[in-house]
Amino acid sequence: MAILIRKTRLKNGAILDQRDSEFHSDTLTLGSDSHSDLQLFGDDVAPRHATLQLEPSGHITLRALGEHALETDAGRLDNIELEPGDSVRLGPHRIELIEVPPGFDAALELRVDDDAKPDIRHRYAEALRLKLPSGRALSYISALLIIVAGLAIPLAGYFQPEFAAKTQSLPTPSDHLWLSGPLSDPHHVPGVADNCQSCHSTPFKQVGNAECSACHQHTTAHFIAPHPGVTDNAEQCTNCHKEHNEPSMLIVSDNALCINCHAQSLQRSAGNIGQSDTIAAATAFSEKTHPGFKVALLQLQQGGDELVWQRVAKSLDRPETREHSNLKFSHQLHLAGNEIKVSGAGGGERNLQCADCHTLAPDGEHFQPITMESSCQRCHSLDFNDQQPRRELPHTDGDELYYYLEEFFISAAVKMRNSDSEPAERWVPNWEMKQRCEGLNTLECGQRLADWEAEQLFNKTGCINCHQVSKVDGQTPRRWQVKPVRLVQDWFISSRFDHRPHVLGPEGTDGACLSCHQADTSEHASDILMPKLDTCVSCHGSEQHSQRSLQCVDCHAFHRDGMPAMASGLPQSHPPLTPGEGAP
Amino acid sequence: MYSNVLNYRGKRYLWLALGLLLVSVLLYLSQRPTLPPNGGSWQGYVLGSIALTMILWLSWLGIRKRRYQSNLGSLQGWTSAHIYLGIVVPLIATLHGAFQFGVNVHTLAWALMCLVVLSGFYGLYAYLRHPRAMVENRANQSFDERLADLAAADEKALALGAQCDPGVDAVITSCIERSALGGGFWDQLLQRDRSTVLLPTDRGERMSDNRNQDAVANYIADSLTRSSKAGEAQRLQQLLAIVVRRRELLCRLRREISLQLRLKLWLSIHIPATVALLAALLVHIFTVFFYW
Repeated sequence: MAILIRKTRLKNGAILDQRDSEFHSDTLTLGSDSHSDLQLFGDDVAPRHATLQLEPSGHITLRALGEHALETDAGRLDNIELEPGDSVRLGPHRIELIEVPPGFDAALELRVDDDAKPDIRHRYAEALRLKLPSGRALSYISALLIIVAGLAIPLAGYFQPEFAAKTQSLPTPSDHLWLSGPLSDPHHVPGVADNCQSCHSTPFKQVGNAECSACHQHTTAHFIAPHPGVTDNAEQCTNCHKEHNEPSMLIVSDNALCINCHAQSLQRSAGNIGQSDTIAAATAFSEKTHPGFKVALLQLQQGGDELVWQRVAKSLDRPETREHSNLKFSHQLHLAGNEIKVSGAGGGERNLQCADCHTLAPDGEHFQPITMESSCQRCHSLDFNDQQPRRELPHTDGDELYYYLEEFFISAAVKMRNSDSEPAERWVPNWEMKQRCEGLNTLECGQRLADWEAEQLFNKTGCINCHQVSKVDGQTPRRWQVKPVRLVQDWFISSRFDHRPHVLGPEGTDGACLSCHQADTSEHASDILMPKLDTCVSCHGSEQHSQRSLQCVDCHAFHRDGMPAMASGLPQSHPPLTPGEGAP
Repeated sequence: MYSNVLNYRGKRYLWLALGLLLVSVLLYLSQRPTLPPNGGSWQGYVLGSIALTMILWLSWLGIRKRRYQSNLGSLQGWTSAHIYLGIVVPLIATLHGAFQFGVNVHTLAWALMCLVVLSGFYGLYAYLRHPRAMVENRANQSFDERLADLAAADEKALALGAQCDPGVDAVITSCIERSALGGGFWDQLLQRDRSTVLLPTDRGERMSDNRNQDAVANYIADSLTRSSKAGEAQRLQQLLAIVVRRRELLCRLRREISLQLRLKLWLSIHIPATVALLAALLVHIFTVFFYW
C-alpha cells in the first residue's frame, strides 16, 4: 500500500520547505536512528520511537516502542488510532492525518522542527556505544547455573531421597555429575552403578571397609583372615582397591603394596642365594634386587611310617637342583636338526616342534599333561611281535604288562603245539619260540616266552628306553617294575605367567619357546628347563626396558583359591551377619 | 628492543612457567607404576593444588589492575606473568586430571578453564595487533576530532546545499541525516555501512541505499552535468569533494569502532568464563571431598 508523507520543515516556527515522499509499505518506523523510515531528531526522540501502521481498514495506527510515549491533546498514549484531523506530538514534532490524494491509501503531514537537530556526538551516542554482551550479567548467570545444577540440586537429592526419586524421571542434574572417573567393570551392577551412596554413605568420609563388606561378605579367596600382618581392621580395602580410576583398574599395582611388609624376607631370600645383601627394598625387578627363582620339585620324603611325594622348593641357581621324574628323555634328541620328522600341514614333512607335544591349557599358563597316547605313541609304537605287528602292548604298569605278555604267549604256545611245522634251513615263523620251548609243556612254554619278552622290554629295549626300571628281588619270575612317573605340573607355584603374550605376541614364532626354555641343548630328563631370573630380566628388567617393567602383582598372585570369605575378616564395626552368612 | 608483556624482564615469567610445567610433568610421571595417574593420588592433589593456586592468582589480576596504588610489582609484570602462567595452567590441570574426561562437574571446570585461556589467547592477539592498526587508522586524529571534522563537513555541505537547487539541498540534508555510523553488534564488528538517502523520483522521494555515499556522489555528479545556473557547477564540485571527504571520515570511524569492539570483545567471554570457572572449581572441590 502507498503512503504519502508530506514533510514540512519549520525553522524558528516558519515553514522552511515542504517535500513529499512516497512509501510502499504497511509499516513505517519513526525515530532518530538513521535506518528509520521517518527520521526525526530531538531530545525526546528515541532511536526507535514508534511505528506507524496502515490498517486494512484504511486507518493509521501509531504505536510507541519501549518506554517512549506519544503525546496527544488527551495526554500521553502508547497506542493511537488516528482519525482525519487528529495530530500527535512526537518530541518537538507533530504528525497529522491529511486528505488522501488520488493513488495513495493514506497521507500524513509530518511537521518537523528543524531546530531540534542535535549535536553530532549526541546524535550518534547510542549507535557508537560498543555493543558488547554484558559480562557482569553473563558472569552471575553462568556461576549461578553451575552452582544450582552442579551442587544445589544433587545435594538436595542426597539429603532428600524423595526429591531425588521425583527428579530421576526428568533430565535433571543428579550426583552422577560428581563422578570423578568411570566405575570399574565389576561394579556396573544395579544398586551400585546407579546409587553413589551405596559406597559413599557418609559425607566427607572415605569409603570404608564396612561399605565394601556389605556386598562382598561372601567373596572368597580373600586375604584378610589368613594373611599375616594385614588383619588389622585399620587396614582399608581402599588402600589396595582404587575405584573411579582410569583405565578401569580396581587393584593397585604398586610395588610398595608388597614390599612394605616383605622387604626383610626378600632381602633375606636374596642373601641366602648369594646375591646382594641389600636389595634396595626390591623396588625393581632386576638381577640385583629380585631373589633368584625357585622351582617346586616333587621329592620322596618320609611322611610318618612311609615315604610320600612332597613338593619342595629348590633354587634354580643351584646345579644340584634337578628333576627326578623317573623318565628318560632327551629334548635335544627330539629337536635335533633333520633327524625327527612329522607330517606337516601341507602333506610334506617338517621338523618336530615344541607344540607337537606341549599343548597350552586354557589358563594360558600351564600345559596339558603329556601322555604316551597324546604325545609319544604316534612315533613310538608299542608293537612287540613280528607275527602280529599291529598288536601293541598296553602302556601300563609292570604287573599288568607281565600278565598281558603271559596270556599272549601261552596262547601263542598252544597254537604252536597244534601246528606240525618242523625246523628248516630257512627262517620260518615261530622257529625261535619252538627252540626256546623245547622240552617244556604248553604252559611252561608260554611263561618262558613271556619271561624272555619281559627281559627284553625291561632290560634291553622297550620300556627301559623311556622309563627308569627297577629290579624286584624275590618275586621270580616277575622281576621288573617301571618306576612311577612324577612330573611337576606347576613349577612356579607362587607366581603367575601368561604364555600367550610371550609366544603369540609380535615376536611369536616357534623359536619363542627356545628363547626362554633351553630344550634344544638339554640331553637329560632331569634337566629343569624353566627360565632363570636373568632370562626374564633380560626383557623385563626395569633398567633396561622400562616400558616392559613388572610390578610384584604382575607375577605374584595375592588372592588364592581356598582362602576364606571376606566375612571371616569383617571389621568389628560391620553389622552382624544373619546366621549362615559369610562362613568360610 | 621493543618491549611488551611477552618479553618483559627477559621473559622471566616464561621460564618460571616452563619450570612449573617441568615440575608438574615429573610429578605426573612419578605416579607410575604406583597407580594409573589420577587426580586422587598425592601427586594428583599436589598438581590440583598448584593449578588451583594459579587460577586464583590469575583471577586476581582483574582486581589488581584496578588498584593503581598497589606496590605489588608493576602491572606490566603482572600481565606478563598472567599470560605465561595462564598458558601452562591448562596443561597442569590436565595432568592433575590425568587426561580423564567425562560428563561431570570436574570436566566442566576443565572446559571452562580452557575457554578462559583460549579467549585469553585471542585477547593477547588483539592487544598485540589492534592498537597498532588503530593508530594507523587514526592518522593523528582522535575519534572525537574526526567526529568534529564530520560535523564541520556536514555544516559546510548543508550550507552549500542551501545555495543549490532545492532537490540537491534535500538530498544533501537527507544524506547527512541518514549517514549511519556504528549500530548493532554485527554492524559495529563488520563495519557495515547502512547509510540511506531519500532520492527524488517522479512521484516524490524514495529511500535508496547510500553505502559508501555512492548514491549521493552519483546524484551530485548527475546534477553537475545538468547544471546551468551561474556558480551552481562550482558549488556542486565543492559538494562532491565534501561527500568524498565524509566517505573517508565515516569509513575510518567505522574501522575504529570495529577495532575497539574487537579489542574488548574477548573480555566478554574471558571474564564471565573466569567467574563460571571459579564457581565450577568450588563445586569440583566440594564434591570431590563430599564423596571422598
